Amino acid sequence: MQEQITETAPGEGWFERLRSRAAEALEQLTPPTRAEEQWRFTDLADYELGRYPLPGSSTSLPSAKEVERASLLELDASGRIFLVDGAAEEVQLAAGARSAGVVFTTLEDANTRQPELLEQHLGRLHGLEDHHAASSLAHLRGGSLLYVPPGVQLDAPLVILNWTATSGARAPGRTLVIAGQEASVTVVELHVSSPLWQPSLSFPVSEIFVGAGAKVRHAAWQDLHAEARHLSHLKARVERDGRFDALSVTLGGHSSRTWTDVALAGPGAESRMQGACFLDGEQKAEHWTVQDHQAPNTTSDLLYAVAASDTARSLYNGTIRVAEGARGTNAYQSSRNLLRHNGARAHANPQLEIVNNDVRCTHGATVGPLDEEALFYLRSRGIPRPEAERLMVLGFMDGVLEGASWSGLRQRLAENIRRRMNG
Amino acid sequence: MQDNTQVVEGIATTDSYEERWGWRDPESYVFKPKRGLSREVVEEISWLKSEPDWMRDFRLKAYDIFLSKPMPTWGADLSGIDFDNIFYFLRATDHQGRSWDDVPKDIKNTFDRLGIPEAERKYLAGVSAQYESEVVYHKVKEELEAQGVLFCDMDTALKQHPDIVKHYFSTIIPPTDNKLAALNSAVWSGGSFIYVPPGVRVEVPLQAYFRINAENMGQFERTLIIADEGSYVHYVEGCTAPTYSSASLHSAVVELVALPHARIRYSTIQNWSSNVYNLVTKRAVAHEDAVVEWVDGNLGSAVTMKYPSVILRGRRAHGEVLSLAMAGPGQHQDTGAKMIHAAPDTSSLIVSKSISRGGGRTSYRGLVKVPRSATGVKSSVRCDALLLDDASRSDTYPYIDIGNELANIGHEATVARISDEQLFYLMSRGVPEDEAAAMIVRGFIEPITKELPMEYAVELNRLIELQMEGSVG
Repeated sequence: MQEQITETAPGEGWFERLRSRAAEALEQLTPPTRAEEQWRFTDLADYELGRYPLPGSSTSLPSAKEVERASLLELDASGRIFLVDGAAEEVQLAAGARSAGVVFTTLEDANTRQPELLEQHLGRLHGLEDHHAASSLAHLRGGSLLYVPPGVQLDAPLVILNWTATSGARAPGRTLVIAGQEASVTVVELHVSSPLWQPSLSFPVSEIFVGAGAKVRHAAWQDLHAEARHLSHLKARVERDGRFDALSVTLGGHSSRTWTDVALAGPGAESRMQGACFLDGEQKAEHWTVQDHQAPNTTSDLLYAVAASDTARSLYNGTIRVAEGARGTNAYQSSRNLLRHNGARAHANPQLEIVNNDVRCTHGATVGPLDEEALFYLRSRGIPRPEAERLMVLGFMDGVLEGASWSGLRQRLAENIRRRMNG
Repeated sequence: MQDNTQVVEGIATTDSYEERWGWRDPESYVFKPKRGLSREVVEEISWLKSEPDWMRDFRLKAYDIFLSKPMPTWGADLSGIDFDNIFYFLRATDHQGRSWDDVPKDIKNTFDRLGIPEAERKYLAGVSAQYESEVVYHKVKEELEAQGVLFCDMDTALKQHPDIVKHYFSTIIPPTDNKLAALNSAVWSGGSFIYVPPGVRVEVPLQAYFRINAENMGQFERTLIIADEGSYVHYVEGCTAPTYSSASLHSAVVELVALPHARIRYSTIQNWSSNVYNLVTKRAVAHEDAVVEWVDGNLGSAVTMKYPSVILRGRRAHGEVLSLAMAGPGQHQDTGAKMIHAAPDTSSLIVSKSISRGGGRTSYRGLVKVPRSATGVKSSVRCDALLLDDASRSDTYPYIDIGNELANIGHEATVARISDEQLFYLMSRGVPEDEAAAMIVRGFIEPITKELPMEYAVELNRLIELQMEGSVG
């Protein structure tokens, strides 16, 4: 599939040809069916692309106030890209970062100025392998490119605000992150929306290249309106001694399906993947993760915590794969599920595929209610039951967000959960 | 004249011998084993066994279901199975006629090493159709009869205890369950039937080879065990020594019914020769306060797909699966367990230990399901895999589906190799490397072996030692 992309000529028109190749491939690729293991648990209608036409250009823009509220302005960002239904509205980059050689712009813009960067990376991790992947490239618009040159280290995060504005439409997103050797950067992608009066699909794809010795932190924050569907794919490739940390926060939307697939491609590469998810009402969320150990002496760690209230449904499906040559692999995976009410439902399918014996792999999954004894303890100290429950849910989630780099998000998450548990 | 010719041509071209000539004419019929499966073969099997009509109809219905079901596309690679090239029914006498010389050398060697008695060897190698255990069995049989326990092969049970058989047969695993269960339902032969009356405890583990004149190594065994209220029985199937079979597909169905307060323990050690596809459906129903334990060891065969299940139907029922899988060169052991917590306050435990060596592959595949209505469920799953070399593979595919908030479910799995520290420690105390590795493996599987009857545990340990030779370093 990737060869098909290579066949297109670089430079002028490469981007357009990539799109048309993807459109051709899309015609051959059929939408998924429930016969496929990966879609067995899913209501396919939620993610059926045909239901969500691409919006025209005349979308109603969110108000400045809405944007301000959603965009975590308290984060002291090095740069910000604001996309509405996939089309770029605003691009900012701090002067310091610009002078250090950092590129932070739309993919369309990069196509005219850095076509070689796109040609070497775009669609290389998530190409034309299936119906949804091909569609993402075929209908590419706007999009974001972040390039951090070798050795450049940015402290403040770069923020990408993916806004779903049009009811009943599709909001495609496409992010490409390239961190050069020994570079260091934090990217926060926010998936938020206007109030919607009929289902819309937020449909982002992120490809992340972590160079040798580089450090990339990526946070995906989803707090869409209750009518929204969210289908996201994140694929990362980590080279020698590189490190990639991924955080996925799922709060909103009617249904949400996130894929986070990290390939530890170079010796000594490391990854930490964390997920926090709070569901209530009739929300559905699926988290799919892959820890793909391709090279020797690689390490990965994963922790996903999901709390489901009311009749919400959650699926966690995680795979640790250890290739034949990946000796000295250390892999850990933990799925923790909290069911708060009768009617909430959790699936946990943690999977291991190991083709090598010099490994240390463990995984664990737990499903259960809040610990009654701990609740009793809190109440015996005068804390009313609702507050005691809130504290325990927050504690359950907080373990995932430990680490100072996500401090802004951590507070946000606590606020969100407090608000929803007050009802 | 003209008409007659047409009739003759009609006979020549139609497959439906039965329709034209009728079935029950013993004169016109001589059974010859033949390959492949058809409606006719299914009817022949039923006819040869002089079964009641309901069983014949059941077989035929199952045959239709077998045809309509797809092959499983998940799990092990089953593309090597050619349903048209299999004998679906062989009488005991057909098995004989194979001579000791036909038995492969490695299997004979293993018999030597394990110290299997001469008579038993021939039986295990399929040379002799039965094992001379009459002396041992005679006393057991008297005791069982005094207690009112029914223990015989399924074919006999169908004749002698038709009411019990009809009441329970295929109620746990209907032919619609999966393609292989449908196949077994259509062509089953042999297997054990046990009924334990209320309150009776059977102190001696019942073993298949106690049964005289029965084919207990059948390809399509059908086993049904019913433990009535408050009773206890331990059934042991198979053996540690390699069982040589020239048939390439073995597909058994095992159904257990544990009525309130009953306890059934079912232990299997399977060591088929490495040409065999072993695709088995095993399921139990545990009523109120009942306990069902599966101890399941899989050492042989080319491909095993086997997931013993317990449907915990009554309040406070308990299910356990202790599973051991060992895959050597060319083998894929795709095994695991399923626990369906259909009632409140039920509990389950799954412990799986797998060992892959010499390019073998073990997969744990399991399910723990708690529906919305079942409160107070507890389940714990523990899977440990040991990879002895670089060429081998281990997979873990546990599925957990929880619909009740008052459930406590835990799953843990590890994959590792024999650590250098452990080896070093033993070797520094004068234990040679091979022996040290075998010792570590024995320790690894100890939670399973300690649950087996002693003679099985001893043989299993010897067998593992044997398989481990030269596999380290």
